[in-house]
Amino acid sequence: MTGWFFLAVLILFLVDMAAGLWIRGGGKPLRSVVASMLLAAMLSGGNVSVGHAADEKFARDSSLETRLAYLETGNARVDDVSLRGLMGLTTMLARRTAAELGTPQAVEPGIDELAFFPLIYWPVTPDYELDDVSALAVKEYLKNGGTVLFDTQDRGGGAQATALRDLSIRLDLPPLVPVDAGHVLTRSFYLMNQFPGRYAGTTLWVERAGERVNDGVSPIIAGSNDWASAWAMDDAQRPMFPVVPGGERQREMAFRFGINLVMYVLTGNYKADQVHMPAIIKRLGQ
Amino acid sequence: MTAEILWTPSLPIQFIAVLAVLGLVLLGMQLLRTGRRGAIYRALLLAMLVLTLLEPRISVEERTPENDIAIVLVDETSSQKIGERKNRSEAAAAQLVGQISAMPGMEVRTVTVRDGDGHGTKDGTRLMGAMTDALGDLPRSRFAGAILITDGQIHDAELATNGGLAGPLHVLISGDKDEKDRRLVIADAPGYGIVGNEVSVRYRIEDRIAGDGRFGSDLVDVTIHVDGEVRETLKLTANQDHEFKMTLDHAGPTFIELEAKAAEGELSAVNNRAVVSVNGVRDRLKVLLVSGQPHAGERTWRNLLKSDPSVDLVHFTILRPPEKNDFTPLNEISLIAFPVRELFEEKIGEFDLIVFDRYVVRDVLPPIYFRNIASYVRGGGAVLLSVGPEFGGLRSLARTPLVDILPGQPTGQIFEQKFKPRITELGHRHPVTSALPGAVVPGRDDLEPSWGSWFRQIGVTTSVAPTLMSGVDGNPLLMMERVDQGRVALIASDQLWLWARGYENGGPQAELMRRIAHWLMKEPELDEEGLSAVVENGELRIERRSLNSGSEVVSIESPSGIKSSVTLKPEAAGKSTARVAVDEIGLYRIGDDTHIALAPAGALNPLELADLRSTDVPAKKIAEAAGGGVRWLVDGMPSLRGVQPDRQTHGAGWLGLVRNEAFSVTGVTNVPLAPWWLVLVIGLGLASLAWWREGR
Repeated sequence: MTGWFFLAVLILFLVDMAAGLWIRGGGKPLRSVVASMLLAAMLSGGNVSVGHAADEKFARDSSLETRLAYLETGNARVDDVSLRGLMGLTTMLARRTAAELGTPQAVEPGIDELAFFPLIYWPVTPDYELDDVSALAVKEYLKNGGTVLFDTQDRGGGAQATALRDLSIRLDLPPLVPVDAGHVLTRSFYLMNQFPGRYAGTTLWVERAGERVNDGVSPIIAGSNDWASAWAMDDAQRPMFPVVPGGERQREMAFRFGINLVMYVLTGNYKADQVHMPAIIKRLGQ
Repeated sequence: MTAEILWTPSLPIQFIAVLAVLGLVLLGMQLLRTGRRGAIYRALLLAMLVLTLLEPRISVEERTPENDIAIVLVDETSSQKIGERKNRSEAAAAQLVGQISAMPGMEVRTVTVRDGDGHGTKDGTRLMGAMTDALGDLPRSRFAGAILITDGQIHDAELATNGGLAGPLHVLISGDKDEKDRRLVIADAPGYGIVGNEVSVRYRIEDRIAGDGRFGSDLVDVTIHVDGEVRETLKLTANQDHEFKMTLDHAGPTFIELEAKAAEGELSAVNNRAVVSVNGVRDRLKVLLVSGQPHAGERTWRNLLKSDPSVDLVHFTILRPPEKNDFTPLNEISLIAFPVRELFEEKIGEFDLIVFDRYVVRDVLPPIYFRNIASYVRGGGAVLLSVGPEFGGLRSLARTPLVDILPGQPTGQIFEQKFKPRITELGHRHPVTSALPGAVVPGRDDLEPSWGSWFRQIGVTTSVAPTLMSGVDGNPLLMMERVDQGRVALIASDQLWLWARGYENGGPQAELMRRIAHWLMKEPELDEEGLSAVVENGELRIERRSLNSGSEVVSIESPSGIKSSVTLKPEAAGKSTARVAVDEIGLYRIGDDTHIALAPAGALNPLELADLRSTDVPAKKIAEAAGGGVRWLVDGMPSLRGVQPDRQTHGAGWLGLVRNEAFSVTGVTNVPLAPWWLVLVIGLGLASLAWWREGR
């Protein structure tokens, strides 16, 4: 503010000087002067124990001796053939191999403890009902290293096949593949590529298993050749049923399949190991 | 206090200049026309008005002079503790601090640098890093310089030579010139090796004097310790590479310590020792499973062993005994020529573990093979037996030459009743069975373990072998024993598989097997009598495992050889522990009467101790980069001088500290030089005088 004020003063002063010069000699000088800016939740799952009916004697008898088991269907004829079939197989095993097993045992999933049995023979019948508790028991059994042989006993394609399909859904079974030529079942004791029972010529199905899990053993084996009938023997140790198309060779092969099957469930991929033997022995030498 | 005139025109300066020039022109014309009459007053008035428009102010700063700050940085790392260095350094530091404090306008800060200070790897003497930190909160304008007292082994000198550090940095070297030192240097060592294979460590004993010089010595005594125990003593030539070879015999770290005897007149023996830690890694485990009669539990072994990809399993079983011959043509039978002789005779020693599962003695394996297995165990092998009823019979393994190494002999009794396996009191203290999932807590044998029951136990005589688990009526169920160099475990039942198959919700079969197998294969962490130690976060943690209770005292030897002892506090599961704060770097050795544990703290062969000789090489680099001088304390203490900035900072016998003459401004006062009223009064006066003179 003061700046503007003094500017005005300076200008006036200059004007005064100019005017003074202009009027020098008479002019009067001008006379005037003026102023300027979390959490988480846990779930706990409980194990469902199923083996409520595990009677001690049953457990002792079934664990002290290795025994084959079969599903008790409630159908007396079918159950009798299963028992006699497995007895026949057990006899043949003892006669020809180191596997000396105890008497076969009938089991009802959900009531009897299944954990003791390396193999359950399961004749698939259309009228058998599997309740939830039993299904859970079977799933546990399969998960803990058990093996089931499902046998529709009908050469495939009948009502039993439909029943098996229903079963596989109830038991969450994985898809099955046909046994190929390299499968251990073809060489676990005898060398064979067909697996006849009372019938022959149908496909045997297994799970596709990895080598590391469960020693590569398929928990599920399924077919339709009615093996129990082929193995069944009467009290005089004579075959109870004819085989179709027939011949002692077919019965022999049915027993061989039974022996291979039992060796497979008892010794796993033992025979397949032998493939790796030369490499392992070579490594041992290092 | 300083005053200063500020020109603060509020009008454009060009404008004022134009008016001033105009005024001068008019003034000149007036001089010409009317002579000097009154012109002097007009000139003064013009000058005053122009100056007023320029608005002069007087600015007065109030200043407080500030002290310059000098830093005395003292190296107190391990290498500074040698010989006279420590005393010299302390004396020099005290003297410097006294002198600097006595200089008017000068302050001193003392910074000490210890092992692990500074930046980067935390290894070695990191003086420059510490220097940067010390300068962090210090105003550059007050920094008078720093004096470093060190042995000269500065491992981060490049921080100074990269620039960025204010100077001057002077270095005083504490050691002697021409120091001689012997050290043991690892030229080449593997970080890991495969257990059972040979590893080799190349090393060198260097006898050095000043710079790259060497001093001659006769043969040097060298002692080599492996895992704390003397392995070799040698006489070797210095300044030449040597090689030490050994076979790793266990997984995990193996400590190889090499130590050369101190040379006469050398600085220190601390670096005559070097440690190599070689981590033992197991090659694929080679397991031989020998099964008897096929049974439901056989596959449990296979499932377990085959699920581990690092296991090479060789399974031997007999599916068709010789006496059971049917008439099947051979080409229809899956026959395997099992290389029995090769495996049981030639290569038996190559297995890491041999498992017998209910093996029934048959003619297939002749007694000589069992003798081989017994001597395999004595020589360091591992055998696990799970036995069934056959063990009490005629075809029992106890009737083969294997009997000598068995932890228990069959009594002939077979218990076939429901029972739950239990952990014995001893078992609760043993790493193999302590805290097994499902077990009851020690001392609560009134409770039931939560695992499933078994139904068969084979009667076995209680021998000297420790029993870790018991079954029916307290009969021994799991026994483990050391036989010469090897180890044997016996499970007096064939029903472990019930745990795997989930009967009564199963049990910890896989975990128990894993622990038994690892104990058999001598994993140190499963040894029942063991001492282990680690250093973490400046704390030495000692753990002693023992089957015997009672407090125990262990000795601790620090890397520099200081010995102390500590009493361990008993804890659960046979453990007793202690924690001790530690501050040295190197290898700590912890020992009781029978065990030695080694715990590395920081770098095993610390850079700090690699070269102990005093040197002025890094110091000169630093001094050159940051404008300072290097002096040896043995040559006498240099005097200190205050120097002006940008002047020489050191000279013969003196070191300079910069006098920055820094100040802080505590206040500024601005006073206008030409107040408007004064200008008005003087202006009117001058104008009046001018008009009066002109008017005459």
